[in-house]
Amino acid sequence: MFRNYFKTAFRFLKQNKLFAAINVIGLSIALAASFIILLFVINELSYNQVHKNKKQVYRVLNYYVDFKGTNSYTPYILASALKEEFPQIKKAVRCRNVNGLKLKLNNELINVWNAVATNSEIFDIFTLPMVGNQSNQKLLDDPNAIVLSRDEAEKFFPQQNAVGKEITGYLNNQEHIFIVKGVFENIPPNSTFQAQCFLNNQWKVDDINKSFNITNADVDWDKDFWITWVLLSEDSNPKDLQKQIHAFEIKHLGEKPLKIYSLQNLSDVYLGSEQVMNSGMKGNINNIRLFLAIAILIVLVAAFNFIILSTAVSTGRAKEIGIRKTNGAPINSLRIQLLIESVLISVMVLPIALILAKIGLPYAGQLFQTKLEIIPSNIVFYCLIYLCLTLFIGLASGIYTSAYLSRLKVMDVLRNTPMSGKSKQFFRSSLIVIQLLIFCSFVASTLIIRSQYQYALNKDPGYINKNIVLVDLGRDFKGYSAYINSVKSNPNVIMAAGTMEGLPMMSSMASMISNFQDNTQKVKVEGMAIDFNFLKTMGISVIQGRDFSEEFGSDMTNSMILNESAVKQLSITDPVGKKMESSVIIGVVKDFNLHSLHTDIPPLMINMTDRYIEQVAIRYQPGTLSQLIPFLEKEWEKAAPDRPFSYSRIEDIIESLYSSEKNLSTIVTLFALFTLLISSFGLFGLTLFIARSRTKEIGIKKVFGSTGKTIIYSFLKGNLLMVLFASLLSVPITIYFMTRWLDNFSYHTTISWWVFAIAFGVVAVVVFSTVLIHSFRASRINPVEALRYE
Amino acid sequence: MIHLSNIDKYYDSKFQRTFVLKAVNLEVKEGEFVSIMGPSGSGKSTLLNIIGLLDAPSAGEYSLYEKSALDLKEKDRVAYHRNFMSFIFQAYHLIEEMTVYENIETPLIYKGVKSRDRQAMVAELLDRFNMVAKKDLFPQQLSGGQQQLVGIARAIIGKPKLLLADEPTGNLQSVQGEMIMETLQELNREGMTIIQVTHNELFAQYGKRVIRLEDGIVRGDISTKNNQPAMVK
Ligand SMILES: Nc1ncnc2c1ncn2[C@@H]1O[C@H](COP(=O)(O)OP(=O)(O)OP(=O)(O)O)[C@@H](O)[C@H]1O
Ligand SMILES: [Mg+2]
Repeated sequence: MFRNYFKTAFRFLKQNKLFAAINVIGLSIALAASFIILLFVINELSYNQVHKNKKQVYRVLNYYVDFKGTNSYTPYILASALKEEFPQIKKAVRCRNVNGLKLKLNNELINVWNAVATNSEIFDIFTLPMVGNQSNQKLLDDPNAIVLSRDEAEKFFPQQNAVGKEITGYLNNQEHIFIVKGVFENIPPNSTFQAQCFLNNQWKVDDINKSFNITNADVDWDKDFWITWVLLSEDSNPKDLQKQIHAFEIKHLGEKPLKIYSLQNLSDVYLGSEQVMNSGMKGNINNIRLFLAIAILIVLVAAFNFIILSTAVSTGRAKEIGIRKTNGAPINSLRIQLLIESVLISVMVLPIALILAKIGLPYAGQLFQTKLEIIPSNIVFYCLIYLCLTLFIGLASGIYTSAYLSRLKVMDVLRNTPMSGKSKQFFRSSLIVIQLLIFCSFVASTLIIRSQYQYALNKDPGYINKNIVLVDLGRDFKGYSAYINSVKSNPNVIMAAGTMEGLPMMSSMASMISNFQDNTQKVKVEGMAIDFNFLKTMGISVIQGRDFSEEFGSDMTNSMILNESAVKQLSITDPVGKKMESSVIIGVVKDFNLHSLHTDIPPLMINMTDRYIEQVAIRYQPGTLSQLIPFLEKEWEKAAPDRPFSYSRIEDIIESLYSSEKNLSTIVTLFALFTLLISSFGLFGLTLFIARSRTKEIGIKKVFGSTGKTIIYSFLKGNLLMVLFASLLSVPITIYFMTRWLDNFSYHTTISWWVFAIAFGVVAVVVFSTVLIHSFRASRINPVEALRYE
Repeated sequence: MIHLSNIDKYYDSKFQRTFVLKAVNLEVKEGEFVSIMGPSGSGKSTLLNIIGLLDAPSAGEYSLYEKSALDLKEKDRVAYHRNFMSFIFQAYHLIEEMTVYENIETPLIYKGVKSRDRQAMVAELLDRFNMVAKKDLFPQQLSGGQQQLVGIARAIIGKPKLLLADEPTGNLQSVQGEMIMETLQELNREGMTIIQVTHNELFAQYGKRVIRLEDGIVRGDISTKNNQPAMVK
């Protein structure tokens, strides 16, 4: 029975080679693209799923009340204190990465990255299977213990069993003999917890003691350097525990604790840590959503194609099906027949799509700016999802086609009632319109993203954003004035000045300051620390009062300058001369964009500093940078022979602020092209089909005096309507999504009409050229041929 | 009006040349009603297609009103189809996606007739063929004879000088066939030149002249009893 179905299905595909090919190519491109995206999405969502205890594993986060910031660093003693005082905490470890560990291989010292100093219980918290049948208990209790990953073990002990062997290492500037206590399987890349080797905790405690010149780093509640992981018992409720932790904080940190500890589940570490500093690997849930949406759209376009083409082709079989029905074929057998055909095509596509995806993977990796790896533990997921997706497309279109055809009444089919043809054409046209709509929206969105990017690069930030280089001084560089003076001697340098951080600023420091009229109201004011002449160098204009000046001896310690927003939000009248935070306000500057255009201009106070000058801003004559850099470097080597010379152009810094927008526009452009490619495949097939089925009509029309042009026109007219309709519909949709996207920026462009005009133009050109090929051929039909055989 | 001299039509296959028409000479005057007869495959349709400018002869001369009708430009051929000649097919060849009304209207659109004039002209023909009630139906909803009437209406609505009919009654019962023939005869009386292909001896007699084709060669050219001076005005 089934063999018979397959046989007829294959025969049908063979007879309709061209349509089958178009279907297969379009579908495999679409599937390949969505496979790659899904690979990314699956990988991102699979983070930390390898750890079997993930539901009970928590990281302790540390919220600093003063700084209003969360950090993942906690004191060493926290782990043991928590374990002692809370019975529901079964295990607790602290970890810290060890820098600069080197191990000896054939008398050569080789760096080991990602060495982690921790407790033996780490093996009970994370899933770290041992190589061989070795126990994973008490491996790190010995201070000289070392546990290696499989890769490291194979590197240092090729073709040997490393366990029990000694290895010479170099750490904290000293040589040590370590004993290999175990070898663990490499940690898969989709774990945020990564290590290539484990050491005893003591190494890091000693290191910290030494650098702070103390002896109690392991009991000091203020030395926040370790990440604390805990394993809760299965029946415990983390919410209850969280409540009890407050009493714990008071007990150890004093009556008004300045740190608040909270528990973060391992599953949330990758995607729920946007606000956590020093969190390690982080994912971006918005990106995942965006990519998922794109994948769905592409699959949708491909599925539509599939439906359009299979219904179109099967119309040619309506008559056959009608005749079969009159011969008593049961409806179900017809349905199964059509279903099998469409599933067969989709399954045929699967290997092609997989190969295409494999080829495209490295390019996509560059584009997404992440490594797209095939992670072995995810392979089951990939296979399952890919297979489901493929079958889904096959089944969905098969069900639609079969339902449509078997619903037809025999008489309608045999008489070829045109009404049914018209309503079906409407259905098909609406699918095409949706495809074109998706494409138009993609195109318009890309253009909007691009114009916002250009806008961000070119908008006047209120300071000079061209022809400035920033030379990094590093911390505590005493000789900066001498360097600045030597730089200024170059005729190509217009002006140079020191600052803590150049513009645009990446970091922000803020303090809360009371409003001048209303004491109770606090305003968040950001700070900026600069040297003399910095405002002038950056072209920031002082609109009231004066700039910092060497003539006034007190400026370095007692003066400050506000920006307009600060004056306004703090409600200061006549600010110049007023006192604020023990300094005198000596001037007001015009508002400028401190950070990227994503944020508003904050209230700002500018102070002077000589201790924290870490960058020099140098404004130069346009076009002289290539001569200037060697000069700057030479002077640098004189001024600071022990420090590396590093600089950045202000243009590059500004560009880097918007690199994610640039990337996004590339990605959306690419997928716009994909949808276009796929839907033009569909359109190509469909017009070909329509042209064929209209052969007779065209023949008749020609006999009665229709010209080729009229026939081409009749083809284009219907498509013009679809293109028009799609591009009109794309306007509100694009505007809706893009206004939301633009809301990410405090300063953004307006969406202009030409964006949609271009989208329309592109679609029109592609659609028309696709249609033109067939309609031109159709217009050349020889009526004698077309009408000879009935 | 039509002058064919020494028309050959052949198809070359790998090893041989098959003649469909051979040295056909034919003169058709304005106002004539010619029936072409012959066994299947004798080249009747081919001859008609050549006259109708749908097909080109392999050799020979063909002129319309003393002007060569060979190697016409696409533009001129379209002009002949629009204004001079018209076709009726055995298989009706109506456009299935169009109603009766729209089918009949088609040639007028190509001629560039204004919409209001078209309405009047179609209405007049529908009335003449007693098809007013059927004007919004699709071809499939009509009987064979009715479909062929629509085909005729479409063919004559542009008032062509020459009507070419390839077995117009082939798919019809004899009663319907006679009705069609009478219609053609009437059109001929009004001055239209008609060339029809038919298998039916009786229907051939509706014409004024019968041409017999065999294996692409004209074997006979006889006037019928219809061709009496009394019948021609
Ligand atoms: N493209 C072609 N290639 C080869 N032979 C052809 C071609 N077109 C027509 N013929 C042959 O020309 C011959 C005449 O065909 P035509 O259609 O003119 O015959 P007919 O007299 O109209 O026959 P019928 O009465 O069956 O309609 C036939 O034998 C046919 O096989
Ligand atoms: Mg014939």
